[in-house]
Amino acid sequence: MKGLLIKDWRLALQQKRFFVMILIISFFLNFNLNGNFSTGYLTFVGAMFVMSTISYDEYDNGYLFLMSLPVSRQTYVKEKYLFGFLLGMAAWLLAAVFFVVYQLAVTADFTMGDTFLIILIYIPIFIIVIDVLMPFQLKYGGEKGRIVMFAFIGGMLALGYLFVLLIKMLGVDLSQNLYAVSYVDVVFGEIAFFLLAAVVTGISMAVSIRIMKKKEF
Amino acid sequence: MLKIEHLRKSYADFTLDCSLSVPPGCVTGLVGKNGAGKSTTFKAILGLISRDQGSIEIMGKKLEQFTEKDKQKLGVSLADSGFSIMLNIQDIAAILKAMYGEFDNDKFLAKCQQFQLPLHKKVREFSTGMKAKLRLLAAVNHKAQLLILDEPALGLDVMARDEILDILRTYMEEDEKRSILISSHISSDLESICDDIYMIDEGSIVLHEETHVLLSDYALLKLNDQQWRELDKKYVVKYKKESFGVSCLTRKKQYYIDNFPEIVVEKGNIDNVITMMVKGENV
Repeated sequence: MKGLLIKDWRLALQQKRFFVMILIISFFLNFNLNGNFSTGYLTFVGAMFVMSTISYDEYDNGYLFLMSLPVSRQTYVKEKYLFGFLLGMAAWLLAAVFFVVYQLAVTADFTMGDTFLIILIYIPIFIIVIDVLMPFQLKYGGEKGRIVMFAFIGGMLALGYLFVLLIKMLGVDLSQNLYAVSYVDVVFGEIAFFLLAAVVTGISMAVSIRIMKKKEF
Repeated sequence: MLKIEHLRKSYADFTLDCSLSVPPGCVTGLVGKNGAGKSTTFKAILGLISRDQGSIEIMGKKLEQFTEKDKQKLGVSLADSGFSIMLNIQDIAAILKAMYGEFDNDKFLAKCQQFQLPLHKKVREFSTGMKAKLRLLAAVNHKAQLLILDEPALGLDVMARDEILDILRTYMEEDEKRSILISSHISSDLESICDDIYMIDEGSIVLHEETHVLLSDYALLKLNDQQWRELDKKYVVKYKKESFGVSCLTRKKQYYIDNFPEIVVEKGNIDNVITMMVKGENV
């Protein structure tokens, strides 16, 4: 497991210029767009890099050699989830720092608790996104997996758009309803999201291990 | 050290059915033309493909019971696969150190320098020979008990192949219980290092012989039609029609030298044995 983490970390370092660029973009997005968006953006870009490491692994018959090392297929899968979570968390922490800096600089009535609650939601969301994409990436590989990833993101956006459209058609004023949501509701909502992420991770990992065990190299 | 019994793997147009063993302290070669089943055999040994039937035992343990810790006792070099070409030797050393409890980092880096492999350049900038040496060095520096080497000298010139063979000789000299299973299409490499050789063709082992027997007792007899008709064929393994008459493979060279002195006897080597085993007919 440790060896695989080092491998993926060293592969991630190959993209350090890209990451620095994303960090700069993300930092300035805070000032030009909603800081909330920037947090999500950085977190997802960080977490999604784990999918690229799978592409690196399979490039040039890499799996053949990788699976001949002292690594089981189960360990390989677990490491990918762990690496994705670690990258996502690191990106989220950075994004959180940027967000707080922005809030302190720009917003007068800034409260740490509220801010924390707003950006905390990105953690279970990025975990669930990894959970959904990982089995596809392992089953179909880099190229096809990427198509599935884009289809998934497109599907999510379409669903969101349809939801907003439906709300408008029904004449519901969502902003009024949101203001009615209490602090306690938000906390419970976040806890529910984290629990959901844990359950989805368990299911996704089991599916991924099954996919990997059936693979022929 | 390694025992394969009736390993069977079927594809749409190919079936592997092979048994072989590698005793402790031995270097065993696996030869055969492209597509004969060498790589499929290696993949099965490493658990990279499923098998339809048969058993594989490594160091007294069934393959299905082989753990990550057990795999630390193996060293593997595959012809067309290795670490990501985006990494450099320093990266690879760090990974191997974390993966193998017995990995000798200093020795690995020293060997890489000895073979003029740049430590900080990405592997993608390496030549074919440099990549092959790196793959092998990565396999021999963690006190592995068994090396599985699929075409370790593929695409290399004579000098580079000699260096590869030197690495293997050193590896074997360090511990007399170590073993190697090696495949190569360059028979002279195998003749110089292997204790015994298996020949595989169309998925089946067609010959297994100790190398010194193969080189000393096997021979190619070249005969005209009349000599062929009069020949005592009890030690003829295979024969083939030629423009001059018949050539045949025997495993008792001395018998024919003593009893048929007029026959042309060509010393056996792996190449002509393979050719006869694959293209020749049974008597």
